[in-house]
Formats: sequence, structure tokens, C-alpha cells
Amino acid sequence: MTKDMNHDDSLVSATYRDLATETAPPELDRKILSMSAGTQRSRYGLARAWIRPVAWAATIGLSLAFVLEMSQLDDVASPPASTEAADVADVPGVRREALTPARQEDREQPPAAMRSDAPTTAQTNAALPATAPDPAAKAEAGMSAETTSVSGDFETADMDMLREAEQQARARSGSEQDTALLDQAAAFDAAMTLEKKTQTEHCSREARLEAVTWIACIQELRDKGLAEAAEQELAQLTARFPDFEEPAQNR
Amino acid sequence: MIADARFLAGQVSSQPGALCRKPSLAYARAMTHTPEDSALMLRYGAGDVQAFEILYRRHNDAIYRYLLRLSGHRDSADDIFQEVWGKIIKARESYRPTAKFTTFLYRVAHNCFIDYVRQNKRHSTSTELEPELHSHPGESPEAETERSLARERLEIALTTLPEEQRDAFLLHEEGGLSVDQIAAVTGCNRETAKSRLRYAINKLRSAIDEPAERT
Repeated sequence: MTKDMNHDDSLVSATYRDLATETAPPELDRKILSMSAGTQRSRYGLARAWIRPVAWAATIGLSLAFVLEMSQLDDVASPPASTEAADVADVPGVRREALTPARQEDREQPPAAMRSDAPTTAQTNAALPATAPDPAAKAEAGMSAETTSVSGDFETADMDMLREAEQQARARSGSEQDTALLDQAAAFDAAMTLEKKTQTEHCSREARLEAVTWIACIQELRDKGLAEAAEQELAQLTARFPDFEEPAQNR
Repeated sequence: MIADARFLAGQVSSQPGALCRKPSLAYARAMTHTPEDSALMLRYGAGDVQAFEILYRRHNDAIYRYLLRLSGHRDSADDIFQEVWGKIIKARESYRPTAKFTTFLYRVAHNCFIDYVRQNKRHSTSTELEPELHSHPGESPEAETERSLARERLEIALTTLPEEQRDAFLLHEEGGLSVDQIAAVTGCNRETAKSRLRYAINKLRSAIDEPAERT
């Protein structure tokens, strides 16, 4: 049986060998060989294996940094930051100038006539804008400078303009621009309130023009219980008017 | 297989340096002139493209004929052929020489053919192959005619064989696989593989010897 099988096998095999002479098409050979070489090249291109993870990591890192940056910017512009600044300003000895240097510098630029070493009331009157109240009344008021000063008027007008803009923005449909405008207005409003509050703890520029009005302001600070602020003001007064002696009744 | 061996010998003698390029591999160290298929595949996995080319040249025609006779269509054979070698290329790093490389190669080819048939429901078993006529110089016209007729009868008988029997016969003829290896490739037990192969050979032999009954 096995012998017959082997005989059949060999005859069939010989006939089959004679029949099956096909070969793989050369184009297929080329394609497969190039495929094998191509994958081999890519295998050694280790950079390829790293490109995707590195790209993902870079994208995630940059996105996180961007989001963090944006959130910090939001914090700076939002009202809670202003509240924080107000808290700092409440601490005795912290000057308001240090909080808002640019705006303060703008306001601290006095007219040419006011920059003289010994300014007079007449000079001051001449230098004040037309909208400023009567200086005599200011002298009477003494410490009410925050409501009668130039800067006080400017702030009032500024606040009015801001509120008006805020109302206009609210009147419009709630687009994103309006929302942003409202946020800015609220932030500036809070800053203004803070400035007004800090002004009550110091003598105004008008009060500092003359020693008499300045010492009256200092006395008023003492009466309010702001002894440290009063002492600072007195030190500045002494430095500016060395010849001036504080009345005995004030001590 | 003899022709393949001769071809391989030519390849080896023409490129001795390429074959001995990586002596660090245990397989390559032992076989300096006729590396085994497994060694070539391992070398290819280690980055030696030349090793794959030798391996491919050694088996490409046999695999192509196996797929061509199994599918009966050149287009199908082309597609499956590419698929098979694509899988071999992809498996270069995960390949472990646990079995003979030929068994591994024909198992991949067999599975690719099964997948192809499943994916292409309209795949028909009818063949479109035209038997090629080969003349043998010095042979008498009668003998030449008889040989041609035998080839034609075998061709027809092959197409009429059940697919499992044809598969077993082709694995035996083209791959040179033993009954055990055929069983491993086709996923059946040894006796089933042996039975399929025996039935196939008997039918083919009958077709060659008794042309009058078939025609």
C-alpha cells in the first residue's frame, strides 16, 4: 500500500512539477521587496517613534501654560484683586502712590505755578482750573479736600462717565464685548472707591499748600484716630516748612 | 525544491559577505553559507534587509503557485500573495523559531486565503487558469502529446478536488510539508491530513491514468 502510494505520489508529483511552472510576477517582487526595505528604514528611524508622544506632550504643556496665563490675567482684572489692593491700602504706612503709581504720577503733576517752593493762595487760585471751587471755601473746609480738590472733581467726572458707559453697555444686548466692557467698568469703579477711601487717610494736595491748612488737616487726622498717618503728615510738614512750629494746643 | 536549493546556492555564493554580516546571531554563526530560513528571518528582524530578500527569493514562487492553484484566479493570488508577505514583514520582530519557517509561512498563507474567501463571498472555485504548454527537446511527438495531455488532465483534476484535499496536496507539493506539518497548517489532526492527502493523490493519479473516463 505504501509502495503504491509512493509510486502514485512520485508520478503525480512529476506531472505536477511539469505543470506548475508559474512564477511570481516581477512587479509583485519589486513591491514586496521595497515594502520590506521601507519598513526597515522606518524601524531605524527612531525619531518617528518619538515624534508623536513628544508632539502630544508639547501640545498639552503649551495649552496648560496658556490656560494658566489667561486665568492669571483674569484674576488681575477682576474685582477681587481690587479688594485685595484695598486691604493693602488700609494698612497704615502704605502709601496709595505705591499701589497706583502711574495714575498718581499723572495727578501729582501740579501746574507750573504750584511748583514753586513757597506757593501762595493767589498763585494757587490762578493755577486752578475754572471748574475748581473757591479756594477760600477750601481753606475753610480744611480737610474736605477730597471732595473739593481737582483730583476729586476729576474722579467724580470720571466715575460719572464710567457709570454712564456701564448703563449704556447694559442697555445693549448681552454680547461678549458688552460683558467685557461691564467687567472693566466694574473693576475701575472698585479702584475708584479704593482711592476715595485712601484719600480720607491723608491730607489732600490743597491742604498741603499752606502750613496752616496742613496742620489743621493733621489735627483732623488725629481726631479721627489715625495717629500714624498724622505723624507721617507732620513729618512731611516739618520737612517742607522747617520754620513752622506746631501750635501748642494741637500737641 | 531542488530548483530552489540550486537557486539558493547561487545566491549564497554570489553574496557571501551579506550572509555573514551579523555573526553575533547564534543561527548565523553556525551556518555561514546556507543559512536556515529561521536564521534569515531572525536576521531580518535584527535589521538585515538582505536576509529577507534571500528568504523571499527562496519561497516566493512556491507560495505564489500554492495560492494560484488554491484560488484559481491570478488576481486573487496576487492580492493574497501581497497580504502574506506583508504579514511576514510585520511579524519580523515578534517571530520566534518555535517551528520550521516553512510551516509558519504556509500557515500564514493558508489563513490569508481563508480570510480572503470569507471576505469575498463571491469567490468562486472555478478556475480561469490556462495550462501552459512546455516542449521537451529530443522527445518524440507522441510522448510530448501524452505529457501535455497528462498535464491538462491533472490541471482539470486539481480544480475538481475538494478544497481541503487540494490544499493538502499543494502544501505537500509546493511547500514540501509532511503530513504532520500539513495538519499543523490546516488546523486538523494528523489522520485527517493524511487522509486528505491520500485521497487527493489517488484522485489525481486516476485522472492522469484514465483520461477516457473523465472525458
